[in-house]
Amino acid sequence: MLVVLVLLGVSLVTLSARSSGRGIFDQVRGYARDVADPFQSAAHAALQPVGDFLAGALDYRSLEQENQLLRREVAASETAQAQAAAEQAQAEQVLAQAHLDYLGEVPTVPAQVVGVGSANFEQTIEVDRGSAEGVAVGEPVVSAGGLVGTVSAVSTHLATVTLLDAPGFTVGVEVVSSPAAPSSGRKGPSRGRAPTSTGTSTSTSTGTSTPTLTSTSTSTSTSTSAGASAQAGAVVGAATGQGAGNALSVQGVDVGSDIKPGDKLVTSGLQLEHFPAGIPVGTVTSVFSPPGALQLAISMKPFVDLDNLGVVQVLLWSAQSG
Amino acid sequence: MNGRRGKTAAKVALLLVVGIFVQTTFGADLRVDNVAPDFMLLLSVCAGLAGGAQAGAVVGFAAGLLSDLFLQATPFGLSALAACLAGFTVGWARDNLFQPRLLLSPVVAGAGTVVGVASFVVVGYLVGQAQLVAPGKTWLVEQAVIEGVLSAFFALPAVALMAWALGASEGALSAPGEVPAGGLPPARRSRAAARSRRRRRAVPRTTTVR
Repeated sequence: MLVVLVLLGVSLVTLSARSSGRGIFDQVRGYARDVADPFQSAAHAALQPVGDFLAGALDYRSLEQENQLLRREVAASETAQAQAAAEQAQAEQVLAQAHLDYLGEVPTVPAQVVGVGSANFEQTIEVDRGSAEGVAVGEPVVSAGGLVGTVSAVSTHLATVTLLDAPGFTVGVEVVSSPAAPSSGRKGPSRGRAPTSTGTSTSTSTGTSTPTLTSTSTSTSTSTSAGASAQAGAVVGAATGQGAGNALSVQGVDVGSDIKPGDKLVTSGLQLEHFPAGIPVGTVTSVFSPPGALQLAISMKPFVDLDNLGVVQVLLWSAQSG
Repeated sequence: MNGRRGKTAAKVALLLVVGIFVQTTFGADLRVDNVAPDFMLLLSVCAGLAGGAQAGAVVGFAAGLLSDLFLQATPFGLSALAACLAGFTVGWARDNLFQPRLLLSPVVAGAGTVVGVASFVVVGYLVGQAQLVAPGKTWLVEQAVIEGVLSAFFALPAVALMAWALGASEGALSAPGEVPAGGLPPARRSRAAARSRRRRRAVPRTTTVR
């Protein structure tokens, strides 16, 4: 019996891996999600007090500390009327999420987070927009703080978003705080086709802060947007998720590049990227040069608090259509 | 017999469906250090513990298939393979290495979960899912250990439920000192008989003289 089951399992895994996103297994998963969603919503509503109790019991100490911190913050806000008013106005802008500068002219679909994945080797959320609302697999998902992730599965009215910190999630990034970085006048992605760029990497180890990736951009965009790909001389790399709660790792940055803790990272929008350029990603937290290595070991923290997502925006954008 | 098997299958199916709903509704709320419990893997291990190797393999495969319906990043069938192997391993150990005891359930469930997580990662890596090992060995060990501890925490009710679903006559767990309702499995039956013969030879016969 074990042999039969193992053979059946291996067959399923092989067929599923070969179909890679378009096969019957993904359709079955989509149908299962659509069928299960009403029951899950009802069960979640009924069981939420239990879940909240258990979550509170497990996180009691951190909740207590957060409570004390919040009390101090409320007291400070009450005594500074002007600061509180400015913070309230800023909070309303964040909540509205209607005019995020970095989105440029890209159409978006607002979506509410309705579920959090419970698998340990995937970091996912579920949002209440699906193919019926125009959402497709591969589209970037952002919030007020910046990049959240990408749509990895879609059913009729639901979509699953793989988060930025999921193992294996990779996004091309560039530093915006270095001297050769793109100007702040960048308007974000355009409606036209995504620009193509070719890059050649040359490694320099002179110890000076010179970027080591040179790229020539051939833009085919029909938009008048200010920037759509990594500028020549910008420090670029690839940020990769390392699991929930872990800092992302930025790879591909050569020793001697102008990058330091505190630098801000945005999507680079280079060729074959699944993200338009200019979306804020995170902040560099550490830069380390291993002895004898040709590339830096860089960690970064996302701008977005991935544990507390409420409303997100799905960008109706793809690398082919823009 | 067919009616009894059908009843057992229905009870196990109900338990698995309830398990997947619990997993997907508030499994994420029970995270410890960003690690959520895996109730489907726990049920697979409990099936092995309560019902033996074959039960563990079949129930594990079914539980894994249900888990796969709600996963995105890994191929369909991977969780089924991993849970099947974990359930079979625990069931084989139960049949050949130790007598199933209720109080031992948390330890066995924890160890079985670690085996399941390891199987998932190893088989996943072999079929090209390199992202499973991307965060590094320390993270993987942490995931496996915390999942094992969470499984141990929920083991007692899970084992009791699975024993009910599989039917007490199929070798339910025993309290210390008791023989299971269905009797000992064959391998342990022969060892128990040999121990009993040795004891009889060791105890001297006493005769009463009047």
